[in-house]
Amino acid sequence: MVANSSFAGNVISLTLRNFRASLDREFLVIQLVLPLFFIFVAGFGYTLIVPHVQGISYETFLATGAIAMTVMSSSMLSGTMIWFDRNFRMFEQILMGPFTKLQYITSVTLSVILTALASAALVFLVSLTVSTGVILSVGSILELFGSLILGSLFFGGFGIFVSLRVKSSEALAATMNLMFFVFTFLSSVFYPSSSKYLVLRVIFEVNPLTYVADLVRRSLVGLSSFNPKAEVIALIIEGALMIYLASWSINRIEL
Amino acid sequence: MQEIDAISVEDLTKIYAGKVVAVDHASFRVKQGEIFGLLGLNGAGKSTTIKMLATIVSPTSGNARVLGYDISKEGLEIRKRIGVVQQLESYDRNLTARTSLALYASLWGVDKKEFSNRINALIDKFELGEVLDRKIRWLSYGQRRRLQVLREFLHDCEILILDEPTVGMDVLARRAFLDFCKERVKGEKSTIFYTTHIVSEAEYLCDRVAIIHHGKIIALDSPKELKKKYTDAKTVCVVLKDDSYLTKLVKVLDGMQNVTRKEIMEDTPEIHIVSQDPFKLIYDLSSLFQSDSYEVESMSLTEPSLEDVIVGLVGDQTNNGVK
Ligand SMILES: Nc1ncnc2c1ncn2[C@@H]1O[C@H](COP(=O)(O)OP(=O)(O)O)[C@@H](O)[C@H]1O
Ligand SMILES: [Mg+2]
Repeated sequence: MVANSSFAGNVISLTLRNFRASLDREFLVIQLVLPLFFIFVAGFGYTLIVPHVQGISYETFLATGAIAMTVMSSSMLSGTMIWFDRNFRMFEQILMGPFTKLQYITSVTLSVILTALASAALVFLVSLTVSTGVILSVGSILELFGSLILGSLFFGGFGIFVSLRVKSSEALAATMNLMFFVFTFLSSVFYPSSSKYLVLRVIFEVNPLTYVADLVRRSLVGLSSFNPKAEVIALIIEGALMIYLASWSINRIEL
Repeated sequence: MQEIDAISVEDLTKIYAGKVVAVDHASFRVKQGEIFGLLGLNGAGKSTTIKMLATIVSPTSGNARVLGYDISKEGLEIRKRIGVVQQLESYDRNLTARTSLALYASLWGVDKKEFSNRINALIDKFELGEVLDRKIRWLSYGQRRRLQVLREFLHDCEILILDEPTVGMDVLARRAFLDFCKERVKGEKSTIFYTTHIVSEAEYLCDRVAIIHHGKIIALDSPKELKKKYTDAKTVCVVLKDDSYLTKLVKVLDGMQNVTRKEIMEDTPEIHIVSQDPFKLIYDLSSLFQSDSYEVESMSLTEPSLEDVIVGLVGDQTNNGVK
């Protein structure tokens, strides 16, 4: 008897395995605390100083930013699941089984997107309690999910790429923490672009998290202070590049 | 009609990074239903051969077919039909043994009912019953290793490829496992491709053995034939009463023509002498002991082991450079 399965069937089996075996659920839950903290604790505090940003209440600004931040952190985190497969050699074992590398890579990407969407959806629902002026329509939700998926491709790819560059799990955690702050504080999650320094402003403008935060705000509260077409295109290009880099590193794993 | 070979390898060569020759123009065939051993020292090229057969490493030159499928072009067809135990450990550290096995079986399309039938049949053989519900990361090396081997018996496969599977198993577990492999091949007409550096294991288990050294296949036959072909010499074991006579004996042996090799045992006053003409050697030694009025504990003649074949072959190759 020969194990026989379609491409989609194999990707689904591998994805289910990723969730069961590789995803660090505890860590995923813990990283949800941070956006909730920003929404409920920091948000109330800052509103006393900054009532409005770009025509929306700061609480709403922060809550929508927290959704973008969640997509970033859970995508990066779920991308690192590949670290375990490589280091405990289930990667090799799977590739010696009835699967192809493309099926494996697809399953990891799918796992990342699903994890990120689930986390973001949760934060989104919670954020509704503080946000004002949220437009809820099929169109806005589709736009929201589209932006989140594009964002999760970039950050998932980034998580995979970094996981395959570092040796120890400590180095991986440290790098992820650092990059979390770099991406977050050089993006429009907490404030609009404002730095005095050109370099920082440029980073701000090319940071995919800026695009995700802007697009989330556009779809949910109609923010229009940026060029959405340009940001979507930039996000697609950066996401594709990162997925390419991730696949390249997966192909280079020494067997 | 001729049956397709389980594995046929033609001039298979792997050179890593343009300079490390891991496998060097290896050629051999494995018949279906056979237990075939690839025997060699560490670094001989066993694992590299397996990785090429399992299609995760591509050959530098030459080719191989597994069940008639080309390793370079039809990898997926091959991988659907083999089960591989790698030399290095691979496991899901955060899962219990049971969950991990169930997940693995489901990856292979084994349904739940079939899985529980198979696991029940296997768990005692591998003595894993007690640890089945424990997290894998808490298992001992030997337990994890048995789990890894058991895993490949959960799904159907036509060829089992085992890379030094008994490393980390104790003597009893090892023997039980080898017997299990033999039984399995007999019962299901599957084929086993088995690598090891443990000579006695190959001798006990394998129908045929290829000896690989520096990436080259330097001999291939049944263990019995190998012994016949490569060791016309026999070994004479002399056990002395104590160490006192040892120095003299070694000196005498050094001067003898028909001594091919000798080996002094470490803890006992015992010496193993390989000779082309063992009967003359025994006669000469008896005369020596008699004239010295020395009483030996024992003197006996033994058949060569496969180990002698390896030492002979590989020793030759190391002395004369590569043949
Ligand atoms: N990925 C690799 N890169 C470079 N050299 C390698 C690699 N894998 C194995 N080798 C070398 O190839 C040779 C054969 O190794 P291997 O096939 O693992 O031997 P064995 O399994 O018989 O111990 C060794 O010299 C080893 O160092
Ligand atoms: Mg090896």
